[in-house]
Amino acid sequence: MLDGILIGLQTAFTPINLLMVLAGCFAGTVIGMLPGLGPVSAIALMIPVTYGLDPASGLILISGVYYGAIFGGSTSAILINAPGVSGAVATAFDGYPMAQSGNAGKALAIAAYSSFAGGTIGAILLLLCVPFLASVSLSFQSSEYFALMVFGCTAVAAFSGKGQVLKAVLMTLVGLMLATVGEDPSGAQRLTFGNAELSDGISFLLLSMATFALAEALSMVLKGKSKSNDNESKEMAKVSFESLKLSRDEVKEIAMPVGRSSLLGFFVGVLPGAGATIASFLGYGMERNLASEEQKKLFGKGSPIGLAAPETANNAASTGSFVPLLTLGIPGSGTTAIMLGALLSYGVQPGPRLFIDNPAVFWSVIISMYLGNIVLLILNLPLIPYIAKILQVPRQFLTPIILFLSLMGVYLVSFNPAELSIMLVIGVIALAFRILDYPLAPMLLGFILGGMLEDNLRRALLIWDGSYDFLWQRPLTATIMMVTLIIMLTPVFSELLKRAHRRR
Amino acid sequence: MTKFFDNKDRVGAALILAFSLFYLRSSLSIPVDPFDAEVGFTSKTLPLFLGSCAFVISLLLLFISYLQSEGDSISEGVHGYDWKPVLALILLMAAYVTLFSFLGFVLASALFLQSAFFLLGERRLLVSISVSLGLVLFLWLLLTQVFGLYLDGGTLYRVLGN
Repeated sequence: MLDGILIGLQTAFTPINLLMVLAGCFAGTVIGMLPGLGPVSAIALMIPVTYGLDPASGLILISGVYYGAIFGGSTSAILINAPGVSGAVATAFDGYPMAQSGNAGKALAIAAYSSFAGGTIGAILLLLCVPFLASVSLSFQSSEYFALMVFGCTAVAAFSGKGQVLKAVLMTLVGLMLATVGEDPSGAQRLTFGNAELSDGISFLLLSMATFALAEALSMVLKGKSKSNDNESKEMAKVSFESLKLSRDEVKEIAMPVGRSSLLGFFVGVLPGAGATIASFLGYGMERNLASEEQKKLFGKGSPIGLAAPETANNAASTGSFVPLLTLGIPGSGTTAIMLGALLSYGVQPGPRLFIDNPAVFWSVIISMYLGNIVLLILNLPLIPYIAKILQVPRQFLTPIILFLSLMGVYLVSFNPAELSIMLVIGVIALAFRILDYPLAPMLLGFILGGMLEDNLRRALLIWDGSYDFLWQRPLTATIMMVTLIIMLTPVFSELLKRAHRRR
Repeated sequence: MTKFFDNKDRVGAALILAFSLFYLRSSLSIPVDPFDAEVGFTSKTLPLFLGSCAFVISLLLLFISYLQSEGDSISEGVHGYDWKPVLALILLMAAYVTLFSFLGFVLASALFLQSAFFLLGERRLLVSISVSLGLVLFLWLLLTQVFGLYLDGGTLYRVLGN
């Protein structure tokens, strides 16, 4: 493990990778700050840039973008009450009132220090958890991997919001169906309809750009957020960036909530499908319940604890979401799903063997995550008053530029204008499903896991002579399948219990 | 009929139901490798399973949407949406994609950006032309001169060049 950490340190501290952390954090902050564009879109927009880099540098850049986008989302939540990402909604509860009362600098500093603490504790826990989990999962065979892929697909669906479970399952299935287009593992052409453009399957980059960057930009126009940002400009004009320093009392006040929210956030983030949004709300709720009556009165009116708790929790959860990705090869969220897709396109297979086969990638990513947190604290925070000017750039310029960069991102990888037509069609369909409130992240997850799911099932069947007995005869496979079944049925049972309770 | 289409879950489920039927029908014609058939898992096994699951679940969702007295209304959900610029942008992107090979990267992209700025309400011509042309030329220089990538000049450029 120590050797691996040293390799990771060497890789992470090369000038090019340090530059990647800086560039990623900066680009992520700028993109994440724009209301409507979250980390998934930010990463999707950056993927074409990473294609020319080696896997470690590419992934370091993407991780930087991820952290930057979360930081940027919190900044717009605090300054103009427009959370750039759903994980920053709880941040706005107390961050915005604090900024309105003339303490914008302080609010940003609390957010940055809390994020840093959450990220640090998360990174330490990640450092401890990942090798242990990865060594356990080394005994996994194809059947266990197949079970894990099924678990990954269903867990995200099961953790979806109320009334969304069936829709999320359906969208996961759509993703899995799209993954079957093109050449299958045996070399047969499937569902290509004689179209040469589809023979290699639908590209992951195309699908992620179309469903997130393109559809999100169109969605912004649809909701009327594209014409002008007069309100935001007015809000920004009211903000004054006085001191970014915190007093000793303020640090003392938020220290315990930050510690508690870090642990809570990390473990929520580890659960597939839970993610930063749930973690931030849980962190906020927990601290509100634990606060004294006097502190409780301040919640919603600019409480430092109310701001620190969700910020810490969402950053710790973002770190935690890397655990299932790096150890088991299953993404726990839309963002990590897109990262998994990027890893696969580099030819790197995440999972228990990653830290043995590619220690440089494995450890440098974990170390650069921590570097990302430091960059955000010492570079981005003082620059925030200047970076925030992006919020004053007229939207009528920003939206077309996002559309153009999305299209170019796909074109510059394939140099095939026909792919742009497919992208446009998928983008329009994605917009329609967005309007109908069908979640798109499970679709992308299904699409990314689809190929691996089929490969492992095929291999397991070959080993077991075409018999499906491995599903219950291998204890580990059976256990994962049982957990999957329990997770899938939990929302159904809880609904039935609620109904029975209501009848009583 | 209008009421049928005014439910988000129902319309979404109906769309996926139609897609899964089409997918199932197409999956039936996937060629099968005789060796795979012996193992019991062919190229069409997974597509047929996935298509069937999607068919059943979308049907279930459709059924549930009928049982529920109230669902998310599309007309209420999209109230106040700005459809015209979105449709215009989609058409503009379609035109951009179609004309890309003919006009080439620089001209097609600059025209696309300029038109999109105009569509979204930017009327300061000098500013919008500077932004669109500036961005496209910057990207062109970066990609061709710094990264050494080849960007198609377009049929028009070649015709005029000859």
